[in-house]
Amino acid sequence: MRARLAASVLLSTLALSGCSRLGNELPVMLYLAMVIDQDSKIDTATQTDFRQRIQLIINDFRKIKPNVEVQVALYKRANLNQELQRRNASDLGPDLVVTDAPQANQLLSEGLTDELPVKSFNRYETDQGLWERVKLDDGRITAQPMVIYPQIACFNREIVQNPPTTLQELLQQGASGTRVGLAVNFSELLWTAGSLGAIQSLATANDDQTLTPENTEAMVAWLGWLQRASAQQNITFFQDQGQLENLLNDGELDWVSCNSNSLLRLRKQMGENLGVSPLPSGPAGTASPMNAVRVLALGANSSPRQRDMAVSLAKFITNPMVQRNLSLRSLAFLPVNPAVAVPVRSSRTLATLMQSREDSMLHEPALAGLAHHRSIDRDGSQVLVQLVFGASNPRSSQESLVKALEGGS
Amino acid sequence: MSQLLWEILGWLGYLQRSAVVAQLLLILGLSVGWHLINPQRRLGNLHPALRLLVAPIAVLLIAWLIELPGGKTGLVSYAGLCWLGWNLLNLLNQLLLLLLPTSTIHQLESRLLRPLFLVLVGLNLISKFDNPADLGVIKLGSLFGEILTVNNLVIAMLVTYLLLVGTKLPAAGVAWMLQKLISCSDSSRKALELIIRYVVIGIGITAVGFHIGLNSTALVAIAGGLSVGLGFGIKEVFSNFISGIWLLFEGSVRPGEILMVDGDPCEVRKLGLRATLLWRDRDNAELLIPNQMFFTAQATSYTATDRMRRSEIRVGAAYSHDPQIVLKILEQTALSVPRVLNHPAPRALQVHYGDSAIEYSLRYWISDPMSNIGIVSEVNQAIWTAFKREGIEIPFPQQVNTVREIPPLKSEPSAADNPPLSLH
Repeated sequence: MRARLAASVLLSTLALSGCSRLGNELPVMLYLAMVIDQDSKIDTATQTDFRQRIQLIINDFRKIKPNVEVQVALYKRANLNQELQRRNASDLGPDLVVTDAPQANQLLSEGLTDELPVKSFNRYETDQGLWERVKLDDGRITAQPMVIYPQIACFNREIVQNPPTTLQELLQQGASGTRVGLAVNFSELLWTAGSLGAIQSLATANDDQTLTPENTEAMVAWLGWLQRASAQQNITFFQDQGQLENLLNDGELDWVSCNSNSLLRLRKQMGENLGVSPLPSGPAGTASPMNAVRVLALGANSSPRQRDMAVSLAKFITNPMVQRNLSLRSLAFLPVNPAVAVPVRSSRTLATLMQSREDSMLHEPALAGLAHHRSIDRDGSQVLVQLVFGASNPRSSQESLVKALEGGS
Repeated sequence: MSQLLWEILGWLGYLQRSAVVAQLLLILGLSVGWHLINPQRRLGNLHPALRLLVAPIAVLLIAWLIELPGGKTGLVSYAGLCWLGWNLLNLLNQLLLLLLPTSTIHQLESRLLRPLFLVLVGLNLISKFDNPADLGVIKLGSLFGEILTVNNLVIAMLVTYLLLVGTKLPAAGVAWMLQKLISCSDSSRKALELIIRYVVIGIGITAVGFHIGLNSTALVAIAGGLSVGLGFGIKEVFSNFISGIWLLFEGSVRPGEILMVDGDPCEVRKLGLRATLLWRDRDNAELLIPNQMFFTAQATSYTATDRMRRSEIRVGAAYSHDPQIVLKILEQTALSVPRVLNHPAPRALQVHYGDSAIEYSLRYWISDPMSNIGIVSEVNQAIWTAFKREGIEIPFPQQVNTVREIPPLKSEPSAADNPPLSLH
């Protein structure tokens, strides 16, 4: 009995250690955890869509590193931290994590991912402004930016022939019957602050600086516009853009703010009826969309070979050819590499995305600061909900918002 | 399907990590070490319940000690927790034994609790290196035009299994409540239990079918397939199934009924989908008889309208005794046996003039058909005692053989046989 047991143990040990030795010849298996869009659910269609996107990159990457395999696991954004904690406890965490910049920052802060060894990276292949989005206070870089998902306007071409270019036109179209949907989520409604001249005031409050009376009035004016808009019969505020996109697809809304990340899905569902345009500007200037940045963070449990391969992939992702291909194949992302010229003349969608990006760049310092705020999305959204549903007035909402912004960076 | 296989194969890639290999080796080493130290002998003094907890807690302790300086032992801790859970099921089993019969506990444990525990352990283990929610939406193929995912398949299998295994106790509970409400017999309660189970299983399986994408077109296709199948392979299965349901509603073959099978009384224990399980008292055998047999062949029941059985004993008494007296003694003797019913009253009959005795028949009624053999024995003993007391002889067959005169063995020799005399 004991001899048999000893033989089994020996064989198992040899098998396991053999696996480790063989590891040098076997393909490197990279485990990639990927966050799905907010409000999407993990279903077969989403899975196919996301795996196809990753496959686009991996197919190109294999041309230079043929000995690599990638296994993708999709997670809901809200569950990612908890799931990584669980996996990391057994050293079974992913080698790469694809998520948005705020979450990547949070993951590194909590020790769930590793710092990006940015010294070995060509930093000029990524827009300098984007590095600020993935930088912690202590200077550590949390992830490699992959692509930009600009915030734009999506509409039903059958109903909206000429999309509004200004907020005034948006209100007029709403009054004439176009069903408009806006998200009440702070970061998704922030674009209106640029159009209405409140973005600088928000940045000032976020930097814990004293607001001038002009700053305060600009914020009150912005919040006042939001409240008046919500009073219009055909302008409705919803919890987030995910809901807006679903309602646009269902034909219950005609014009919504949306994220370019959803364009692949919406295009499949709406076909030629889907129209896109930059978000409307306002009396104070262009819109200030908080464009989302998809980033690639390094997991904390990789073996040396897996880590080398993961770093290679993170470097490869900013390769101009890859970046250009990603934009052209999807018509939904913008490259993070400033050297890549986006062919805006060949695609109206790409032109729209670029316009949104340029609008955002005008407000980038303010947006980058707000992007680092730890809780403004939650607290700011609560203030806005009270406002648009008439439970508070613009003046008191402004005070609440300033309180929420203070000390959060 | 290939995607799912690829995902599963891909998990082997974790063996590239030395920390993972170290954890697996530690788990292996601990389990082997546990077997080598022969715990039964060394922990003999401990209470059995505590003995079950020693090993898992030791594993958890070792994992904790390794984690203190910063080691990763999530897998080891998990193995310890699973071991602890498995052993706690043993303790639960012992507790349940105080409430439920052993056979029920055994079924509950082996068919429901332990399989469910293993499924949970498996899913939780997968969540340590992958996302089960993501794996669940992998497309396996198409079924009647609908996408069949891992989730759909697993849920369908799990729900079907739970319906088949886990509905027994709830159905028994509902049947018990109905029995209390409508005051029906025990066999009717058992029939009700079965009917409730079949209805729940039927509804459940239909719901599972719709969940995995069955629609009217698919049902037509299945019906077409069944009609061909019924003609060939599954005719008998279907026939037995329908017979079982028919018998259940008819009430002739229900759990608790007593039927005669090959001359032996048998109690119906279970009316299954395919066959009926009967228990034969004579040799404690359990007979599995296809439902169709009861549906098509003649069957004798002692419990169709009531549970009484009339039994008979034949006995002979010598010609020298007055039959009136013998008949009276027989009837009184039957009444003296406790398990013989007074009403209907036992009746003795003079049935035949035999070669060596007058034959009498004693007929009496009993309330439990399965006890017939035992009661026959008691009545026979009582008759023997009564006959002895009253001086009544039970004759055995007697035969008188009359031997006639035996003829002489040799006859007188004839003159022709004598040799001629010689003249001298």
